[in-house]
Amino acid sequence: MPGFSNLSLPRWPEEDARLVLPPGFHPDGLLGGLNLGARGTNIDAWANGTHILSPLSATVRSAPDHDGSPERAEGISKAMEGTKLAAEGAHGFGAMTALAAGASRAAPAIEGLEMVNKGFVYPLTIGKGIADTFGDVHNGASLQDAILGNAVRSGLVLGATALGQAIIPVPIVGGAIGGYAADLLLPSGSSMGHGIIQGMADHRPQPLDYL
Amino acid sequence: MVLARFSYPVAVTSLVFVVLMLCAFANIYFSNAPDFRFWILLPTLPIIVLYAWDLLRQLVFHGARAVWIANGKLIFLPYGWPKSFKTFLYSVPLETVDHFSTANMETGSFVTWLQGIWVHRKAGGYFQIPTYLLVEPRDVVLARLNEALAASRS
Repeated sequence: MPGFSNLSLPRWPEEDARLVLPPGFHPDGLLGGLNLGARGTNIDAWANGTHILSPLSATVRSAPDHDGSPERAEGISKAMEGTKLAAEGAHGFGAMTALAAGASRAAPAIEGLEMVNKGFVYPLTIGKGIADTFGDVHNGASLQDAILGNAVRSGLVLGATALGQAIIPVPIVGGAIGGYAADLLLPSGSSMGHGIIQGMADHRPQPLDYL
Repeated sequence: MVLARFSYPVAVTSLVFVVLMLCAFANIYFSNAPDFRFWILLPTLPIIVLYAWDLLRQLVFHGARAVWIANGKLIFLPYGWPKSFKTFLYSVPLETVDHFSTANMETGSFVTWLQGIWVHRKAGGYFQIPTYLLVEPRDVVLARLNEALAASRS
């Protein structure tokens, strides 16, 4: 029976898995580049700063491996959102300028901007979701969390865009503000995906024999 | 003569959304966290405020009227850009109206399922009345508009 032998709570089998270390590598790890478990370790040389660093220390120091991918994915995501909002903002600004000049909504400039917006919203929202997925994965999220979460998130942003477009009867602007608010308030896609997957996971009940 | 009135639940939801949105923008600004999206959307706020102000006035002081006729002019809250920087409401002389038709709103985006009525002008072009914001069904509003147009021509 697990438990009372060491006055601790029962442990799951996977928690009992031992850390597999390279031969000669001390479980306490590296101390300032000194492998405490290596044969012939010269702690005096380490203290004097004349020792040779273990190759493993370089691995530890360089982890996690940054190649700029998260920043690149985040940049793509922001660029897509920016393009969408720039079109919407240009629409708003163009409309206000046209109105100030006495033009109507049927002015070619405004009609053109509406056509641009109509074509841009779907692909840019979906593209932003894909870029967010890559960014989350590079930042350490699991692939299924990132895909599911960002798909749900993109759907919610589109839904908020549609809702905003309906309850504020101003072309483009209502939807843009609805989408912006949703994007601002919703948690990251990987967080949502993690929550959804964990919520659906069939957790084993905690054994009660330690009570 | 009032032809149609706003649905209070929808109108109040719209006003609450506008107020929350203004609070969110103020919060972002005063927390020194405005990003580029904030600055892109900021110029559109006067339009939203103008819409909310006109909607609030109609709800509070005029029994939520949305479409009415006064002095031979059809006045309504449109789906579109404001008529001027003084009011969001459109005022169209009935003699300039060619006919009315039912159609979904042109929102300029992928939202193409909002019901409404188009006011076609004799000079060309059209205005949009968003009937999904109203209490009365679209066909009822259309019948009343046609009746008012026929009365103005007789």
